[in-house]
Amino acid sequence: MSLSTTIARLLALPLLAGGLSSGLSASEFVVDQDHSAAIFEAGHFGVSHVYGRFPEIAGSLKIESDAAKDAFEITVTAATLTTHQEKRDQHLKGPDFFDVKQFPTLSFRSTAVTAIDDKTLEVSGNLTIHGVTKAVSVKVVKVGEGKVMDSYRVGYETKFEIKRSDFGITTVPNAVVGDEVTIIVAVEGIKK
Amino acid sequence: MLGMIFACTLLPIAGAVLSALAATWLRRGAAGWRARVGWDGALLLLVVAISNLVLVGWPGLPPHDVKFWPPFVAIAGLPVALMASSLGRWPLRIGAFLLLIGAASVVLLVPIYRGESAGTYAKLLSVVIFGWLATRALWSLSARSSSPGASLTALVVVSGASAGAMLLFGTITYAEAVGIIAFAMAVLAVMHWWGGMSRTGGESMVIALTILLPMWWVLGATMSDLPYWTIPLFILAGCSPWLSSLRPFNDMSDAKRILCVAVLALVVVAPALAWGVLESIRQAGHGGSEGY
Repeated sequence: MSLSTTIARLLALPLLAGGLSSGLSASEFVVDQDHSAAIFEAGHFGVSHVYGRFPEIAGSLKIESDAAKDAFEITVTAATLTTHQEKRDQHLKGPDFFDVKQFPTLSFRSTAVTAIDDKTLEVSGNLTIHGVTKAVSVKVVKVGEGKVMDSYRVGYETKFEIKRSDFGITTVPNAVVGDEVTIIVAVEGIKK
Repeated sequence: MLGMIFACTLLPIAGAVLSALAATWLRRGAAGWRARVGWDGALLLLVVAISNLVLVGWPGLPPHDVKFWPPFVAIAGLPVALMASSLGRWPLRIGAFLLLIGAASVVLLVPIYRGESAGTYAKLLSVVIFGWLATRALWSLSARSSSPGASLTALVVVSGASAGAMLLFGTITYAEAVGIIAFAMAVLAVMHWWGGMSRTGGESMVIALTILLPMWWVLGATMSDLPYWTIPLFILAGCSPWLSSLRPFNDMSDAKRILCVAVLALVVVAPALAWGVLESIRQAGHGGSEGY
């Protein structure tokens, strides 16, 4: 599914990891923006893919010994979107796509987490893009964990696909910008 | 559920109102009714509202996206346009218009100023409502000072230029919506010129357009990148029929006078369009790309 799914998976991974790792049991983490990313990939006239990134990410990961009690919440600031092309960025931020003045954030809030294996979580939750909220379920993979400098950190990643039309982003024809958009969310959490 | 209620009630009510007016018109058979009822403006509002809903889809209510509001405001504006000429006393006509644009301003501006102080919001609301009333007053006075053909021509130019500016400043969604207005205006203009429909282009048309266009100007300036300074140009261009009432144009034929009005309106909006073209070229200049 879409970005929300990815985010959900990211959020769910810490929960799963928490259940499997003593270092993460019953811990809360805040997302480290400098080591996190939300990236999207969209088709360009069916010829190639254009990649974009939302540099500003915030959120929290709550990890309990029981993965089912985990909770994940991630918010992306839409106006920080960049594809390194000014005109395209301006258009993407406008009413034809993300409409960032009206819908300043994209977000994911988990509703259920299930451990699939020691590295993978199935995270369900509500993904909100362009003011439209959809229930999604994504697989989130734990990258690693450990003490870094003075803090304990965990890392999770997810990759999923959404249809922009499901979120009301329909002005530009699919032949120009593909309807299917791949989303990658990678977060590093710092233990509180 | 709310959307279904609207779908099941609002359009039938609008249809019933139109049918009742048409039945009354036919029953009385008096030419005076055709002069008094602003059918052309109401027709424009109805066509634009339905076209917009077809274009963007039927939203849930209240709409989650502000771009869904203009079609509903247009439908709510039907009675305002219908009583534009002489149905009802002027306080009632102005009051109904003020009520409509006041409500429209609130719903259009709420999303962008969510979280601002009440004072800031009140100031902005005052400016928008004042500008909206000023547009109606200026365009109405200008239309009365000239022929319906001149008024219609100027408004076609303003609508087309507004659609062009929306596109140049990067919002296809809004350009499509304003393009529908411009297209409908152009059709009515052709009806006027070829069909001898002398009432088309009168007060009702002016009111319908002063309900429709400012909504998209507000959205273009607040939600997109339409520069604020372009809006006074659009308003001024709509006043260009006033030119045809001046002495140098008195001896001209109707066709020449209308041509002069069209040229003047184009000259007034030209800076907005030129700036849009320059901005578009500047932003697309990276690596020769088309911007996507």
